[in-house]
Amino acid sequence: MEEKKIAELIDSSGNKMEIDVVTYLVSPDKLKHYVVYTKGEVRGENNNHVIYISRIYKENDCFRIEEISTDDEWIAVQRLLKQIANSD
Amino acid sequence: MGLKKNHVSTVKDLKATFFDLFSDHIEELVEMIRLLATDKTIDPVQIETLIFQRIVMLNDTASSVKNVVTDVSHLYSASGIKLKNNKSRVNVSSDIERMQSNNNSVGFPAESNREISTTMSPITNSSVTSNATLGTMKQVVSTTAPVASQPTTAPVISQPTTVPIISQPTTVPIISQPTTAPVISQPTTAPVISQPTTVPVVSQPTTAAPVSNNNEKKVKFVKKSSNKVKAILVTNKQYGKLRNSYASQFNLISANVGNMAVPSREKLESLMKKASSLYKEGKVSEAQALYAEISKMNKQLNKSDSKVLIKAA
Repeated sequence: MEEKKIAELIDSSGNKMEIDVVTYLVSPDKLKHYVVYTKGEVRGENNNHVIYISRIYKENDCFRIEEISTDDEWIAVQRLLKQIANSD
Repeated sequence: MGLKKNHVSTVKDLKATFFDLFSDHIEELVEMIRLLATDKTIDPVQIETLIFQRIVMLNDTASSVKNVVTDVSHLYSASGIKLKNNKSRVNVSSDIERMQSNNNSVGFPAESNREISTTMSPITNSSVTSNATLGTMKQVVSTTAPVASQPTTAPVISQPTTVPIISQPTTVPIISQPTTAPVISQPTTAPVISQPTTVPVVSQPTTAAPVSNNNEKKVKFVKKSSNKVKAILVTNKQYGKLRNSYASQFNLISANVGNMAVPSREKLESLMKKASSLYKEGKVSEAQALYAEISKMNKQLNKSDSKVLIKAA
């Protein structure tokens, strides 16, 4: 098992939760950055993992999260994910 | 040879006589001390004075005895050598000639020199006291080795002098013990050994680059909007591949930290609101100037976000 990269997520209400950072994504133009993380949830018979993707910005000593709001961006992010997840 | 035997026996007789004398005196001293302890009718001060005087007298006598024995030995040795030299005059003469060449400035004739050298050599040999001329004298003696009395005189005199000298070195272990103790106690090098515990400090800088270690300060992600997060299901295999890409992706993102700064979208939005209000107030020119500036900033900062901002505007 790979080592977990535990991080702390603070939501808009100030609630804190631990997340496990799976990886990061960078857009081809290198202007958009995303964090891929999990809360350890699995679904279905094959125990598929639920992963979450958010856009991140560097802000002081932490990262600010902005959720993906458009379909275009979401499609672009899925494309980035597939490049890694379906690679040989 | 008969002279040699007489010499040895005389010295032995002398020693035996003095031994008896000293023994008697020591016994008397012991008796006096016993009386001092038991008989209280005797004046203790008087007895102590007598004991003290007797000890001093014995001490003086002992030193005198040593001198007497030495003198007797010297006397017998001198006689023996003189006798020998008469027999081996040829051998000694060569040594005398050597001494003359060694700057005997007195300028005595050869025969008188010969007598001086032969009489002095046993003295230097028997008395351990060193003279400045001892070196040359020993040379002379060595050439006159056939002198029979020399080996017998040496042990007689050397015995009393060497014994105390040999006994002194027994303090060596006593000296060595205290020296070793501090050496062992000094290994206060323990603190020195404990210092290399700074190794973890050295290892820390290597972990400074990646944010991945659990021991480090946790990376914080702060969410300020209430928008729902996008989620997706991945298989174990895909999950593994994604996770394996962490290091490379992290390096990629670290190389683009400059592009990760929070865009001035909020600032632009606030400017848009301000421009809108200006337009509503009838300040069209000011509003248009502000729109132009916002458009410029939007293009410069983030081309990809320009659509959103334009929509919002």
